[in-house]
Amino acid sequence: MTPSDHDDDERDAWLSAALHHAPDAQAAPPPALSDTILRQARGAARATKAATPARPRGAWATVWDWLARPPVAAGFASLMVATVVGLIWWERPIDETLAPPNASSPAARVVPATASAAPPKAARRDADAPRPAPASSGRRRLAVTPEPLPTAPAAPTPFTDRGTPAQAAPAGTERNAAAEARNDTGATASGAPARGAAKAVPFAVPQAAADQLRREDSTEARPAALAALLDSVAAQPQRWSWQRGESRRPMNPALQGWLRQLDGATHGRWRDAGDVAPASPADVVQLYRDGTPVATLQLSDDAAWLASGSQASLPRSATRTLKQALDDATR
Amino acid sequence: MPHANAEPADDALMTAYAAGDARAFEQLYARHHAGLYRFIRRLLGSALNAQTDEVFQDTWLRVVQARAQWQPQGASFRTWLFTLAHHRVVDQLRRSGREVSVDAFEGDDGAPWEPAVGVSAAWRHWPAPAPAATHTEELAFWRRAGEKLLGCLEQLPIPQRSAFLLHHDDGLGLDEVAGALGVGFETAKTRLRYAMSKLRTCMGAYLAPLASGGESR
Repeated sequence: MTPSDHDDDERDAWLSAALHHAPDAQAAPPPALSDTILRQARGAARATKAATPARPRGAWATVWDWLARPPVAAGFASLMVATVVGLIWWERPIDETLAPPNASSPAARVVPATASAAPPKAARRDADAPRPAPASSGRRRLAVTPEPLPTAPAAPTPFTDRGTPAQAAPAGTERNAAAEARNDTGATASGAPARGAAKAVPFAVPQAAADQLRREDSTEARPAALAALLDSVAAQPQRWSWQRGESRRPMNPALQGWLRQLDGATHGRWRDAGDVAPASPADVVQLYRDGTPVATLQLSDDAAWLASGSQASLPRSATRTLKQALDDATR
Repeated sequence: MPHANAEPADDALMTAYAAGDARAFEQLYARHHAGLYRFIRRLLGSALNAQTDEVFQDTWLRVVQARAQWQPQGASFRTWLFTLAHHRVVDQLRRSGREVSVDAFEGDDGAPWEPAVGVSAAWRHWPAPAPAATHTEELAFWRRAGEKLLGCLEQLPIPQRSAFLLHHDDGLGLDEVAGALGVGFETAKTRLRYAMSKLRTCMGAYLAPLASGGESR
């Protein structure tokens, strides 16, 4: 039953008729009262009209009013935030868990430790080694393109291992990049700076990174590559596998425990190793993510090595303990 | 209240007035001033008749002051107008020391509403209701009935009285009555039924002598 049906049921014709014939049925407000009300209403209307043209309604005022509307203002605020974030992350790799390429310069080593403010690889390289030859721009682009963390076996390898033959094929591109970086370093010596260097430095190297650069010789608590690796292994162990010797095996709690032990033993001892390789024969543990080699850890008699160019000097007793633990974990 | 197609609706007029069109307000006033004045006068009752003008003016001034905030969606202008008037009448009654029950939609004894037994029999003897009685005797009858009805109305609690007046005099639908009084549909319906039951009882007793063919009083 609709309200109108209810109305029909509830409306009493006799009462309505009596009401319409009541003595006050024709009652109306006194004319003076009506005049007063209408006069006040007209005055208010005049005030409204007077207030409206008093405001300049130029094009800018209209645009400003439009911008002041909450949905529009919110949209512009979002756009500005996105722009600022975009400028901050300009030319940076999307996946910050990637380790930097094998870079021999201190900047390349230090900057990844300040993950949130790290300049892009290209900017770092340009800043440290200006390029004289525009003809090599195509090749340079190939070398500095950020490489995302692989999500499929066919993806390129983000980490490189210059000292591990097992990584020869996936690391080919990285080797090219590294070789080019060395060429770039050579170009710096020729004294011909590239335009990109001056352009990239102002916002590619923030204050935190500059501070790190000033502390070139200081040690690191943990390389960014190792930190990212540990985080990723802890978060998604099912995607990881490891190889020591011939056979590759899926990530297991034992090796995770060894990685944590390694992290604890090397904490605060990491330094840039440059191109130096382990002097003594080293135990090598290759880590794969989704079947793609991502990192190589080496344990020599007196140091732990990360293939991305970091080294942590350790007492021989510590390396012996780590080797023993590695044997236990990979047994 | 239906309007001719050529005439703008109340909501459009109020919007125009909010934009500074004084003539729109004049049209609104012309449409609603009589009904609103009558509603206020009857709701206040004979004891507070002298306050009618003040409440009436307050109500319209409230419309003037709230023109900028008024939004066409939701309640119609007419419902909003009578809501304003109702609130002001209740305030006036309270200021005058009257007790105004806001939940008097039940019977005085708290019992749920039931149709009054035997009352309807008296109504059969009434003349057929007509908007404008033509015969002198009928006209006199309805005038006396109207006079008595005003007396009966004053015996109703304010919530029932306002529901009846909005529905029967001002022509608001039950949903509009509920909106104007700020209550649910069923509550408004119950208030209206109580009001009608009491009024029928009151009126039927008064007009009973007419049924025997004699003059009523």
